Amino acid sequence: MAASDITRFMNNARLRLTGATDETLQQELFNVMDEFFKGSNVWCEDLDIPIPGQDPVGTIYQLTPSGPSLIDKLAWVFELPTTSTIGRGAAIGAAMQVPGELTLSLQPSSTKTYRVTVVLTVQDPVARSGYVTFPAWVLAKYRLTLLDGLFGKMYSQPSKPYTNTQLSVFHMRKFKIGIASARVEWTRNNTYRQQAWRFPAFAGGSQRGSSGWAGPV
Amino acid sequence: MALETVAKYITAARVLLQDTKNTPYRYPDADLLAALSEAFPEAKKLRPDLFLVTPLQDFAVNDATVVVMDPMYRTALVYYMVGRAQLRDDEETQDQRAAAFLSMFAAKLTTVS
Repeated sequence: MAASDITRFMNNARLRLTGATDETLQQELFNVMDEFFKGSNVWCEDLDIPIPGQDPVGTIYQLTPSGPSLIDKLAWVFELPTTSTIGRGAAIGAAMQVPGELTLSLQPSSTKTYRVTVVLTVQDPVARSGYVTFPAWVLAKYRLTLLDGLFGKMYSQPSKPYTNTQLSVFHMRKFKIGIASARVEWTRNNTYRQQAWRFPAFAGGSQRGSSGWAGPV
Repeated sequence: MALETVAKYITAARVLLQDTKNTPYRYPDADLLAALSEAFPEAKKLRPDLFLVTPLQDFAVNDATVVVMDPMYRTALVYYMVGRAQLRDDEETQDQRAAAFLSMFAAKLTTVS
């Protein structure tokens, strides 16, 4: 995260939360980000996983995100494209009963590489500053929604100088609406007037001139 | 900055206790140090969030040991020390004063006051 981004964010929070300490704000910010990412799915990562041929059915493949984060959901799995003119290969049936453990419905007979897209959420802060780590663009894009979440959670704490049940309800409602809005934007790949559907695989999405993204439809 | 060390807390409490002349002191250092030590768990009971990273401290000597507390809430500890010290007096006026300081301690921690 850019320092100026989080500084502005924290200053906005401090202005309206009289008597709150930075440690408490950081603690609740973690909860806010966790709820936001789990509800909206906006933080995704593609992982290329080599699958050896003829592994037994039920073989578990470990998924590890590149940065400090936890895997929340398995979004989709595709084979790598065979040519550079298409965005992805065939869809692969897969499951993730335990977060981070991928199993395939059908094992390939020869070695392949699958592109696994996972939805991430925050992990315990690893930075010395105590701030939770997540992509900077999330704070830039969803600043007000995240502030609503932080206000809602802070105001709901009992017996604090900043306790305010009414404002807590108000901001939590806005936070939930913000999460729902972010989830819709994610399903539409942040594209204006994009439909919540896509052409089937045989059409490849190219008939609409789109990039053929793998939206969750 | 005021109220950084144990000695500064003791001095601040003595001002409110009107016990600044060592002839000898009416409230010995040991009593005020015990009150300061007791203030921490009492504060944690009301505001656990203040102690997420700050440990509960215990003090035995009136010296320059740093008292780790968010600057916004340092006065509350002084109020607790004063209230706790005055509880030992059996005069009615002192009882009221003790109760007032202990109430102010709680109010400082839990309200915008």
